[in-house]
Amino acid sequence: MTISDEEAVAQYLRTQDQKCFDLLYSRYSSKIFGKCISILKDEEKAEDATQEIFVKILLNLSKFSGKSKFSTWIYSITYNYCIDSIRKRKKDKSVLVEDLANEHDTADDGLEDQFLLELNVKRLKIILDKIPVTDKAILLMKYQDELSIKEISEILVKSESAIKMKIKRAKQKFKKVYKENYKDA
Amino acid sequence: MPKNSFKELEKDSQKQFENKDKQIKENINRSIGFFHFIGDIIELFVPRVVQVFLGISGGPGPNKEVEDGGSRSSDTQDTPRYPNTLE
Repeated sequence: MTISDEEAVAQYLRTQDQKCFDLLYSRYSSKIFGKCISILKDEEKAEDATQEIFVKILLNLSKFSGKSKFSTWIYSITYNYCIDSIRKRKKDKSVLVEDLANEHDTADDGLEDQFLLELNVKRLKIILDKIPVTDKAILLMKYQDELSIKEISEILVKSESAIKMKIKRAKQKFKKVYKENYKDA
Repeated sequence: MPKNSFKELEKDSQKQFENKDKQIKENINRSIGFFHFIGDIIELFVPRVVQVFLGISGGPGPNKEVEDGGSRSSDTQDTPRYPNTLE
């Protein structure tokens, strides 16, 4: 019989049963590592980040209120951890990138979802690695984790309209970088 | 099922995790064990430190009750332990 994440969390908090932790670990560890490596772009750092994120999750498990899905809560810790650590590494550059992103707020809606979803994986990876980390994270949340606008707004602590705007800008940025790299765009 | 290149990218990233799985889990368990140990230490010593400070500031010391046979002075007196208490 399989138990839900929320049940495993409740059971772990009650009994500190290692099996519950093992279950949550097996469900989420590779996903967390996958996100860390795509944002941090370094295997060793992704390894450390996965470890620290899991410790953070375990130490804060009692704060999980159950208002959102457990996966959304875990992803919020993961994305915020990765974005923060990138910002710490190159604080000034990140601020500049945000400013530049604001400048590109034009009427152009960016890309069709279909184009993004059917893009060659190799090209997708290359372009994602070239756009700012906040844009990359928001695209991963929307298209990889298939989170709703409401869930993304909870993760990034922004309004839903701000998130819609951020997605639009991220797609514009993606399109711009894609055009610079591939002639067939 | 419609294609989603983001999902394929996720699978590719997760493949790199396979050989690190055990080591990361061990490290997490070690970190959590360490935090539990620190928690136990705090749980054990903080009340004693508080008792010592209370003792220094004139309150009941840590071993006062043991020295007089474990009985409180109020146990032997006829007066109620708390003021305004009906006996």
